[in-house]
Amino acid sequence: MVLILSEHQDASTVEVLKWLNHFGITWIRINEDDEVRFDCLEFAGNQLAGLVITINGKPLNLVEVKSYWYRRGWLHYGAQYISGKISNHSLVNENMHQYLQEELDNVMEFVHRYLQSEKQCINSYLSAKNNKTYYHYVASKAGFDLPDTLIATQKKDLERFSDESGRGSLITKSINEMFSFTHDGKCYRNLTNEVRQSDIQEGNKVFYPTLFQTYVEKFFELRVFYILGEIYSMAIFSQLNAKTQFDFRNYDHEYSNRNVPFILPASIAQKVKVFMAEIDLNCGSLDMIVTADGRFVFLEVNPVGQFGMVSNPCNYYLEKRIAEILSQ
Amino acid sequence: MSDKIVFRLFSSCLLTAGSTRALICDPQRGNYYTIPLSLYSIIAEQKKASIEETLAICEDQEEAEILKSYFNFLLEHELIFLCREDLADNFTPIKYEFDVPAIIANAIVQIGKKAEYLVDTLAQLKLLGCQAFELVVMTDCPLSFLSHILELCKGQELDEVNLYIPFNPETDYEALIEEYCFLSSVTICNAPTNEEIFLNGDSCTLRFSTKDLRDHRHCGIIAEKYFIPDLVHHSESLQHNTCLNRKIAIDVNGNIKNCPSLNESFGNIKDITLEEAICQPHFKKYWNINKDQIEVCKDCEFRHVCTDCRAYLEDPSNVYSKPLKCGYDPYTCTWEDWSKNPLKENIIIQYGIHSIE
Ligand code: SF4
Ligand code: SF4
Repeated sequence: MVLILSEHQDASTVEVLKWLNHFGITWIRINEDDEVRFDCLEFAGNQLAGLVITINGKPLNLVEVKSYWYRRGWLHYGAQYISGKISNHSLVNENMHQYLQEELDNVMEFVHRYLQSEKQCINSYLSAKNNKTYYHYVASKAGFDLPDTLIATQKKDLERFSDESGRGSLITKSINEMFSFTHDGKCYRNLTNEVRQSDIQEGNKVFYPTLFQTYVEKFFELRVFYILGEIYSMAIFSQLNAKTQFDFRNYDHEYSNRNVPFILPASIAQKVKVFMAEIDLNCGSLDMIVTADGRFVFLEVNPVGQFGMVSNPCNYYLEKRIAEILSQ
Repeated sequence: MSDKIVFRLFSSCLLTAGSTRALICDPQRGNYYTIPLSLYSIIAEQKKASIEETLAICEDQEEAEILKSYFNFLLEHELIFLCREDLADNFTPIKYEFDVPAIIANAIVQIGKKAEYLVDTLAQLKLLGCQAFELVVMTDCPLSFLSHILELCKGQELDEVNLYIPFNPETDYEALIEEYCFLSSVTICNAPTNEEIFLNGDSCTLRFSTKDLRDHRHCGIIAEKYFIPDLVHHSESLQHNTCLNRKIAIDVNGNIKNCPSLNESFGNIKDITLEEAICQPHFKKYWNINKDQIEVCKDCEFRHVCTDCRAYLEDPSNVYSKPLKCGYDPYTCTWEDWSKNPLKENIIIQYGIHSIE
């Protein structure tokens, strides 16, 4: 049986499930909005004899799971047992609740660890946090070309960074993930923006930690989907279209980007493998830029990125591939 | 490393050579363009040449000028791009693999008076992985009957349903479509007008037709407006029949067929399961007849954007014959009205198509 942890809205999961059905493989999908409870864990005769959780009240013995795909989301087990008052003192209550929560967190972390180490598995909940700054550091150690990057809080550091010769123009983008929300029918979100000299001059002396990066002139972008040592890449030509020069997520629907399959040079493919092993992810989407002079510049990795946007234009059948891996 | 800049076709643009001219299909932008064969061979060779080098081998100035205007056209429509020579080979062609997670991918179900076997049929189709359903109500269709059918579909959680029903002045079709959001299209037959309305944020088309499109003899027409410039379609067409591959039909009497217009029955839904019908030796006989095997089509530049029909053929005795209802001639590159072609008159009568117009 295949276990999948995903999100209610995720369309890629639905496609993979169609393939699993087609292959005649039974599966269980848990979404972030399903109610999960810990039920029982037992060691007997020096081994794990049972590990049972319930999903919306239905028991699932994880020992019987053969393969596991962490697509996205989390196990929603928050409220278990922790209701009602333990004492009349709120401080005692708070601490007791915290104690109980930590007890449960410990065993639930084991659930994740058990699934990702004992099963044929794709991706991992415990490694899926998008540690962009750390990943940037690991990428440098893996030998990737990287854009010069500054996360600073003071104007003087930014000025020095910007003045350094040969840097060209700067951009700013989020240190952490993309962020967006809607209010009053208006959508607020962070995008990648150019930082002009005048922005620096007019800016405050001290500011909130902000990321700056040299703008890398791209010939095209690369989206690289990595899964258990296999690499599927797609070139995205967005610059034919001046409007999307800084971020292709500013979609221009009239003249869409060109998305075509691409084979990474062997040396770059090797770096991808080293990098993914180092950050302990067996699946993820990497973003790179290829410059006009043929350099491959690493930008970021997204552990739970959308792979449908690579699979469809390139005819890679990644959904089928994932289902095959889970069926093994 | 060399700094030579070569031109390359975006591999998302699909080339097809016909006997007289060729086609560049651009699925990512939903377009296609016919081009001369001479240009086709220059692009298809992928010789890693620069535009200048290619122009230099032209025989004379006039030829060079023409080729230059072709290059301008290709660049302007972003069909080719310029690239460093050392990266050119990393732009690999698309693999034309085709597969769907389904034993049966699309079904035509004709529905009679009581819709007796409908639930069971839909449930079986779901298990076979069927994704697209064409439901055709062959009898009168009062609102109560229609609601009954739609509730059955809802119960089976179908997601792509195309419905054909007879016109009924009392039905509020727009309200119905709003309620049943899984409907992809609803075609109202024998309506007083011809009209098309897009609903549910364009996810459903409500079509009124003065014809009785439930009569399957209307099917099988080949025309440019039905062309499908799409990567999946292109890939499927290289190996399979783009109409009949993984298709099943259950006619109004419960007979299981390849399509309602093909006479052969593989049993009745009352007696056998769909799976049993599919397992019969001849059930899949059309599935792998592709355009490269079909007379005339194999010389046509449109063959991988085109649809197909195996029920109405120019030569009914030859299963590889060109579709009867195609008026295109790939040797002269001209369209004519197929139904007025005197050579087709007898066959049209033989198929009984003349009486429905
Ligand atoms: S074979 Fe012809 S008549 Fe039958 S469904 Fe296909 S196009 Fe229509
Ligand atoms: S000849 Fe007609 S049916 Fe055949 S591929 Fe060309 S347009 Fe389609």
